[in-house]
Amino acid sequence: MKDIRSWLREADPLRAESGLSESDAARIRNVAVASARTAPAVGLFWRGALAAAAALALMIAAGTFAARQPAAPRPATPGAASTVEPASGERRQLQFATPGGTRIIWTLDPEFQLKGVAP
Amino acid sequence: MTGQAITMAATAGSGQDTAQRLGVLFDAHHQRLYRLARRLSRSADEARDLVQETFLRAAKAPASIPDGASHEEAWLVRVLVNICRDRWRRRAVHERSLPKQVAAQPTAPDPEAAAIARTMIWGALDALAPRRRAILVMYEIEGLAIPAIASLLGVAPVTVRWHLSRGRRELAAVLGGTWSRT
Repeated sequence: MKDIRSWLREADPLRAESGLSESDAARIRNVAVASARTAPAVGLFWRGALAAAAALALMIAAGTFAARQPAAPRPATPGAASTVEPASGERRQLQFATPGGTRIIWTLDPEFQLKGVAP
Repeated sequence: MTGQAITMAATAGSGQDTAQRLGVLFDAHHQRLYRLARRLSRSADEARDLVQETFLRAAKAPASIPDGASHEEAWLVRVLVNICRDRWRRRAVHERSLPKQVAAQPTAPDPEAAAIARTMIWGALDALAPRRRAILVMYEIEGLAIPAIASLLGVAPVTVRWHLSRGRRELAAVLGGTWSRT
């Protein structure tokens, strides 16, 4: 009684056939190599798309992280003041914002004339 | 050189490199892959098609091919077995949809006993799942050791042993105890 190995080896189709012929091998090689020449363009596209998606994800993550952080108290410095440049004839404004959220707005009268100095 | 021209030159250069690498890969492994493909398929045509499909997949994903001859070979063998599995599943679905008599029809009868036995054996192998069949072929016909098969297929040796045992049992069930178990 034969064992499985003998059965399989006797039934092996390569006992009666030769391997891949040179002409078939050359044909398959040409097809594969030609395909490889065009493949990197697709690869570059996907690499670019992946980089863009990664950048977008990073931006979203950074935005989410920043939104969750409590606002740090800012010192009230003169630098916090901002001025609104008036159009000609309008009054000039000076605005200050305090860390607590209070706003101080100074409106400067352009027609104001200093006529004297207090003692 | 403009940005577009630089990109195109880089693409052409890397395409050339990939093509060159694929050529080397083909020259080194095509005969071994064909032998495996032939033993996993019904005909020489199908085996040639399998080899071509394997190298086309390599051409599409050159970055995923590992370096080193043994790693390359293992990668190609796995791709080949995966392609066989995909086809085997499609064929199984197709054959399930056929009437029972048609699906069970034997292949062309051969008057010689040896040819009949060969047809029977190969028909029984055809019923095995591709990975199991590949393991049986590599172990019983190609004479590879279990650790080598495990390394080629990227599975544990115990998985190879399990597939071997199941594969032998399934073959025995199909062929009806005409051999001694070893």
